[in-house]
Amino acid sequence: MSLTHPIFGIVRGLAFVVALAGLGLTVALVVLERTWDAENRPMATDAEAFVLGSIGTELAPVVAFETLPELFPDEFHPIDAFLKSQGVADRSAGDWIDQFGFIRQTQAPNPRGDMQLPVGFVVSRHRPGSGAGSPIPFVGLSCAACHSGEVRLDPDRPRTAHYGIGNATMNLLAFSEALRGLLVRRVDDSDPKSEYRLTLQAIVDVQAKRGRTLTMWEKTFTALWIRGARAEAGGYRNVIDEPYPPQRLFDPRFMMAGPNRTQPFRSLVRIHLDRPGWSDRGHRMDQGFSKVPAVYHQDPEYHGEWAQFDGSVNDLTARSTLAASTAGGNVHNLSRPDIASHILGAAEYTRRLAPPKWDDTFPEHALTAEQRALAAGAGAEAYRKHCGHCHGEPAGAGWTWDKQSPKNLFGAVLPLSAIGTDPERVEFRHANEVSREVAEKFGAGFRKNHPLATFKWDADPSRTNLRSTGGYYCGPIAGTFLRAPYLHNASVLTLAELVGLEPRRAKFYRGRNGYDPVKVGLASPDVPANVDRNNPKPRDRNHYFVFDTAERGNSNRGHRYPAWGHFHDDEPAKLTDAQKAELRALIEYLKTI
Amino acid sequence: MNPVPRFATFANVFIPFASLLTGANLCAEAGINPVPAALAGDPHLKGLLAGNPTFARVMYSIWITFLFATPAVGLFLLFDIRRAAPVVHRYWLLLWSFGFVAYAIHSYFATVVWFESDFAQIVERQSLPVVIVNYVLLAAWGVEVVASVALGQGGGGVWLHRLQWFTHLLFLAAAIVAAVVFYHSGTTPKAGFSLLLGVALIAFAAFAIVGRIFWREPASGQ
Repeated sequence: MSLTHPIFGIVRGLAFVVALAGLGLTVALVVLERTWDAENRPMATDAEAFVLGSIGTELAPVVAFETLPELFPDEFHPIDAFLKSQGVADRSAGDWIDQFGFIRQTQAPNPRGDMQLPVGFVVSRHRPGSGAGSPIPFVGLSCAACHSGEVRLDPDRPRTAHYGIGNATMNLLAFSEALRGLLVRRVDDSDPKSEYRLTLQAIVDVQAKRGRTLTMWEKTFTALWIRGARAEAGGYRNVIDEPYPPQRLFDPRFMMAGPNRTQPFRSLVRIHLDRPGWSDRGHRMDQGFSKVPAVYHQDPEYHGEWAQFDGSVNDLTARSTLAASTAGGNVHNLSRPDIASHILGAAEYTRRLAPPKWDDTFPEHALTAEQRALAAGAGAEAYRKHCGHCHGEPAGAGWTWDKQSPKNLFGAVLPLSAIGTDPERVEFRHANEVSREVAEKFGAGFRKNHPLATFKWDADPSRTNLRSTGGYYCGPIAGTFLRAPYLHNASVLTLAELVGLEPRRAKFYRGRNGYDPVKVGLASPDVPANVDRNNPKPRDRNHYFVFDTAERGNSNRGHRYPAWGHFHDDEPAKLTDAQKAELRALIEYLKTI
Repeated sequence: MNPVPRFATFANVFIPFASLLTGANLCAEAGINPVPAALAGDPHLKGLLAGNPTFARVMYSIWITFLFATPAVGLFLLFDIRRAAPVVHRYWLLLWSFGFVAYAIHSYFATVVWFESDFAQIVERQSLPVVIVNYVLLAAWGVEVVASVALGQGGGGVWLHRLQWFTHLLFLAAAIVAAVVFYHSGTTPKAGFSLLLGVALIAFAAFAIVGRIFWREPASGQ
């Protein structure tokens, strides 16, 4: 058959039509994609940016996320799974919002009636990773997911949350491990060749039971998300390991961070260097746990030049960008106008954000006139004597420090040898390398005039805004009573223990602790002698995470001020009545700042 | 010899062009690396979590530019295109024109979408000489294609022929430098594929030049 045969002409003609149609669809798709971004608008206010604005941390399509608790009941009830695995009979710890310690929308300072997701969960039209526009909504996170907290006097009685404090109940690492785990979980856990449990069809089926039919876009983008997220989970598995099963997510032998803490440098090393995150002190994993901090008074006028517990970042925008990067933010999605504006707005919101007053937080324990007098007199004096030269002092709604005093250490980094707190957070491998990599990645990745392009790295400490310090930063402590548990690794439950009035507990329970308004901090039942880091048997649904300070990264030593309150590591000081009175006055004062 | 029907010639070039452009866009949209796994060495298809779709479009459209302009450059160097057989001229013009369309699409996504028409930023990232070459090539190529289509084979006289030589040599030089030098140190699959396209371009050009020198009747293409 010759090439001039009519059949070739017909085939060519059909192919031409198909190709033309494909080209038309391509043009239509490109034009359509521009409209998907239309809903991604910057929040109107800085407060909204902090609470409602996506920061490039889109997790999953809404249609998929809604079905996860049903498809993965174990992953979304990990406390129950842990209690069951340890033979502890207790009521359920609640739904997934309770179990992972997020804040229910009803407890938000300004609840959104149209939102079923917890505080700090947002819905955007950004795709994960690139942040490109999406025809379907995705669930993501805002700053408020971590930096909001509910302080309950009784663990079972909800109270209104506060923006700006670290969420003491949230277990972010367990949540992210659960999400990673469900992506690679098989129908038959014992057969690695069996089908994945999370499939488009499984999602479609669950939604169908609810009477919801997925649209063509929802199916397409959910399928693409599953494939991409699974590939990413596979890459993570190659660097870290297989995700833990549900019953280990809250077991401190495996997921050692527990509530309120993250492993920021392990995350940075993993994300930016694609390495597992080892300690610099030996052949072992880094266990540099870090409390999710309060974010009050972030302006340098109040906070000093540097920030983070180790004083490693000195630019407010860079700080927020860096925080977002540990949860999924990258140069692509952070370059999006609305996401960039949320980072800037949220940072701006925290500049002068001040904590609520004690009396407003606990009206049932409002300070008496006697307590106020004690705080203003002996308490303030004790603070100036023992704390002020490192932590500064309140100044109206803001914060200040004595810049002329030769004893002033505010804004300085105390070396480990001086402060003596747990070293893990500042002794991780590649400390300098990761600073440089982050600064260069974000410095080169953003356009020159992009508002988030504030990273700069230099070997000269005076010309860099990212550094590795090897010590801990002396910064402001506004809202001290809301910052429990104390120290950078959340290893001291109360102010009474921190200042030396009470011995620091070697073991305690974490979870949904109640608040102790007398010792000022979190309450915990005593931990039985036979329960420790090797046998971390949970107590109940609210007290499940045994925090053993003998564990690496959990040390509660150091920061022993006043020194006479802590004369021995294992034995509490024998305080005189006058010393006890001084410390009680100090605690009263700390309630007021 | 029967003349090649105009529609058939057009369709023979347009169909792969439209198919590749459609495929490239879908790959960019879905986060699929179109480079075969054997070349890519990357088994992970990261879907929505892959790199930026806009950047993918920038990259894939320049690959399509290479795929169409490379044989066009080969034909141009092998034949005296003014006196070549009509079928040769027609294929050259179609390949060269669709190569230009791909390059224009590349320039649009790079300049308008990726850099949001921020020329200061483009100069900052690419350096002034590279930017000048890119836009001079875009302008000259565009004028040349329009003129070549409008004036037909042998039309336009010496100035058009000089312009054709200018654009082909500029493309050749710029493409070789971009693919071989800029991506020389690249170890990613995408950089490797760009290098491969650059090498293919060099091979096509070298073959055409050698053919023109040693082939007795290259000009006619008969």
